[in-house]
Amino acid sequence: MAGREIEASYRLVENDFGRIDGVLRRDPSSPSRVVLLETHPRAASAGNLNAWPCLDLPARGIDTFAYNNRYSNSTAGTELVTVWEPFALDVAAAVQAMRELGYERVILYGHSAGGPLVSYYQNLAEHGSAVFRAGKTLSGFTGFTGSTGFTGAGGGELRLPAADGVILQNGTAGTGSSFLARLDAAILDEDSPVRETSLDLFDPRNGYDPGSGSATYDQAFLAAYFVGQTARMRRLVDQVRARAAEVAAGRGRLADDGVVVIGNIRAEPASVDLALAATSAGTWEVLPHGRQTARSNRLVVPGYAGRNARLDDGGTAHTYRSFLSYRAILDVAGTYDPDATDVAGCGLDLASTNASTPGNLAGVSVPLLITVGTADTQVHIPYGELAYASAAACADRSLVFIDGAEHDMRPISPAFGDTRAMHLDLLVDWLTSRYL
Amino acid sequence: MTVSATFQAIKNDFATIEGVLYQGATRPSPALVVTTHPRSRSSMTGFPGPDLAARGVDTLCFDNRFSNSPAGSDLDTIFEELALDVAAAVQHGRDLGYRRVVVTGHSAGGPTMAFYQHLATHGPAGLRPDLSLSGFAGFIDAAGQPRQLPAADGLVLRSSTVGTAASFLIRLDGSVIDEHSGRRDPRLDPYAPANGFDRAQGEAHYEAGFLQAYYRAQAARMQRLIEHAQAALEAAAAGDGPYTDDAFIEVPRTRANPTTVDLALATETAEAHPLYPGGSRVQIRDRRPLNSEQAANDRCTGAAIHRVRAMLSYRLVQVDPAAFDPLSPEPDGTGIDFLSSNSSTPTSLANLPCPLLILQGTADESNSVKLTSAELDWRAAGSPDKELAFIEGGMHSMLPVDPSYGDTRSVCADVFAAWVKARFA
Repeated sequence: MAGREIEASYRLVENDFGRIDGVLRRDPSSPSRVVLLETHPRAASAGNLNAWPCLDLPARGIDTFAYNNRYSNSTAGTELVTVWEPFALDVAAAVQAMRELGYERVILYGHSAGGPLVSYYQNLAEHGSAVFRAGKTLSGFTGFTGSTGFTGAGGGELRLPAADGVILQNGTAGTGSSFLARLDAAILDEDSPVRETSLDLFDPRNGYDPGSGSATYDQAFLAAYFVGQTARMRRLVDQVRARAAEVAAGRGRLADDGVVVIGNIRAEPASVDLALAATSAGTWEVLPHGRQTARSNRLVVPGYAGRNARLDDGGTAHTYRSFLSYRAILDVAGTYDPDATDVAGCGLDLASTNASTPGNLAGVSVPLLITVGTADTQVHIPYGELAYASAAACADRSLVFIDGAEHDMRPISPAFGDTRAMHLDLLVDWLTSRYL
Repeated sequence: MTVSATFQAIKNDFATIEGVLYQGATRPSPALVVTTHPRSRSSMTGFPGPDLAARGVDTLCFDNRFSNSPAGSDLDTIFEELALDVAAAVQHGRDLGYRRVVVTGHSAGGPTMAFYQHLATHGPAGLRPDLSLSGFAGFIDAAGQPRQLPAADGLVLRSSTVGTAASFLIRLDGSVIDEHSGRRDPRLDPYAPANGFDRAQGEAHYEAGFLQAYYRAQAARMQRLIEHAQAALEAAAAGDGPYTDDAFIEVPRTRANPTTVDLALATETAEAHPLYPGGSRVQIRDRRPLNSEQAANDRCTGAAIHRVRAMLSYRLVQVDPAAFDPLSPEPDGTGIDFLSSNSSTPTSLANLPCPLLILQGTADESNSVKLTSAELDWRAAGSPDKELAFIEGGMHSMLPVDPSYGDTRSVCADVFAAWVKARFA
């Protein structure tokens, strides 16, 4: 395959759904009927348009379109105005553009927070506005209809074009779930830097070792911590809703919305305690070894306590609308378990958000591939199992682990070999056997 | 003429960015024009890339690290960092074989490119970390040595602001007297009928007394913001803030420039300049329409939120409340201490030896650019080869304010391309 000339053409897409730009990569000498689409909710444009594996697949017979959405380049901490639901229009614009170019099979590829995005999109495209539960989620979003300025033919519901397959690579459990998982429970008052000692992840009395930056927490602390995380999330939700109500009543500082600043958002126990989320519950294909229990070989996140204390990484700001749509999620009274591998056990009210991966995968029927690197510090092994379990309506679903691969599928050490090549082979096999 | 557009994934010593190279059928192009904007949605498409290429001038339109941070979401934009992305684009042009490179920017892209060329020309010696609020002292390489950025051969400003910080100052709502509560002084409200605003028409006629008090209040608000920002950083450093490294600052009501609603202000230039089409030298009359942006002033879209370090670099500038005059065509007449911000266009232009062209529409409706700001930049410029050309009927985007002015973008592109060819062909 080496030596094939891949053409990368920049395209501005303007259609009924949106206005986006992207790069279509193809082998002009060998037209493909399959195209893989990639975007990320907030990645830098230069990273997005050149995202792996979009550069490598065209030489293997799969064309790719890597594109920017309306919030591209809103790196972590700058997603101030990111509202979840409109993302779907930009994905729709890309899917539509590929159909118009003649591609018969369009596959959605989501990495990290792109995972919940493609899950959400496909669920919405397959089922329409019913997925919004008549506005009962925290965002209150009801669908792309006249009231939001987006109308379908005849002024009715705008239906979005469904894709033919969905791939999640190191996909998170949702943008609300991932935020909750790292929310610092030691903050009891959002306006005060005072930390509650009994819930302080970085206090040696609770099992943290400042010297090594790693931790060993006991069950009692963890149970209290998870309850504390959901309690803080509830306080944030209540506070933001109350302030939004003040704005709606004409008593806000601004007329339409407001901004909430949230500090200390890098405090996930599993980032420093490697005994957590250490293995899969079941046995799965683990490349290159075969079917077995997946075992984590991730490392402790370095400098984590410092990151949590810094605005650069541990602070964020959102408009009320953005927070409620994109980062808020409710729990089921005190039962939150970030490492649960099935929906019933996770203790979250998945109907409170439109950005939950398991919540949306429940409605996806097209072929689904979920891949997770076992050395990923952000997306843990149980997330893969949770996503798989939730996709019960999907007749063709696969979960594959790549041993020693990090969040970007690169190997955590050379001993694990070329993990990206393994993953690429997996993608090509999966796509070729289904679509070519 | 046929124009080709090719995607460029750019990665070199300076940065990783991306762009689209627009090339005409005529080869070779006299120079490569390079353009970006600090925060607009992708800079890779649209005017003037294909327009210049169609006139035989190749153009690289690129996205920088802060692209797609529309106003209000430019939370962490550090002005000086943009220079590394411009350097990557200029270097890419040289690597493609272009001997001459012209950098150009629209609106806030003007100060971006002016600063780039200033820094590339003079190096760290051209910076005043002792006077600038950001304290930026230049880029250092891995060996601890100052980084040399590749200078361009020419600079073209289009509808340029006089700086990202100065433009913020002139649209700050002077009636806000307490940043925390948002409390306002109704005597200074530019959108109150009692002060000369007609709500039905969206138009104002302000008296000189109101304007004088308003400008003072704008400047005083800016000084308060600076003090607030500096205190927040000191608190962070002392461990007294919510974060150890930085802080957030929220600024409501930033869409309140009197000139957007009072068309009796800034109506003509101080002296005669070439006016296109035709190019005859005349005193320029303003043709701008009313701007309804004030509607956003009390909304989130009319507010700004920044990290304090970004704010100090990008949006804050020292100003003397007793002397502030936003409509002065003379740098010294504005009361603004331009040296306090690296985003100040007049400072960047003052000692630039390269050829300079300033293009300005006569119907610029924006909240930050007027005929007088183009004239101010032109007067401040030290280049022996400097031109200020007005496009009759061109709005901020260079589109025509009404169809009677014809294809103003085409006129603008003609002037631009002819200028490049005259100097570099």
